[in-house]
Amino acid sequence: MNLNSKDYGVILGGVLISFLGAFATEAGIISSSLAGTITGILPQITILTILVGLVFVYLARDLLGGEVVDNLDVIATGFLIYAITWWPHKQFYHADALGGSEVAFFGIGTPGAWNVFFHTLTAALFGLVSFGFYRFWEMSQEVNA
Amino acid sequence: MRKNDKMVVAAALAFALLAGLWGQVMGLEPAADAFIDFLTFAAVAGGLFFIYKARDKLGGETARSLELLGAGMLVFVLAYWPSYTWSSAGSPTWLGLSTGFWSMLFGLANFVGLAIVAYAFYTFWDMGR
Repeated sequence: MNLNSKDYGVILGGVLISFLGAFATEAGIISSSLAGTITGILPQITILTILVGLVFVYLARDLLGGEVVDNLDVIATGFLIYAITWWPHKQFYHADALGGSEVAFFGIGTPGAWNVFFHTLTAALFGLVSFGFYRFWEMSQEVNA
Repeated sequence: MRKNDKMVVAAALAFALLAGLWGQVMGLEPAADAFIDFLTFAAVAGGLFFIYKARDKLGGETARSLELLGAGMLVFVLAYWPSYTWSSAGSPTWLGLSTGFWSMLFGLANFVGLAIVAYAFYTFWDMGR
């Protein structure tokens, strides 16, 4: 692995915080009303965090150039569409941030149609992100050709 | 972005639209729900495979940033995959642990996964600087 110790710290620290938060909620250390506030706002924070990441992709484009930028564009596009469609998906379709009532909106389609659309879109966008990773692999083959 | 890439983006969007039309006609079948959940997992897993294959040949900072992207996607999908099933089942008590526990675990892990992705994007920028 090419990760440095700080990277491992970020990854493992993040996973640890997730479990600590969950067990603290279970134990009542985080009150259920506070837990509700946190889980209600987490999706918004998550999407804002992705958008901040995309700003760095934008800033990196001119600095890196070439095929790396082409590949990053694919990956960033996947995350950008994910971030944009997240609001209608979670805030309107799932009225509650985590699995609330489901509605048909714009007066078009059934809730089932929106369900299949949004969730297939999520799968397709991560497929797009993975296509970007495939492109990095393709690039690695050329490097050694 | 290359022309071919734009086609892939368009295909991804068209695929979701067609699936939505299918859902309109067929209604939401539990089997379709489970398949979409699996499809999401498979889509991410495919990308992780290519990161694994690419990193040794690329090496250095590019490999490091890719590994971070992979770690973020892995954390995200490991949270997303069961949370989708859990959410479809009506957010129940699971394995003796409360709804609050799973809400918090899945919510935080989703955030952490995508925050690692954002951090990976930062390292790409940092590398170019």
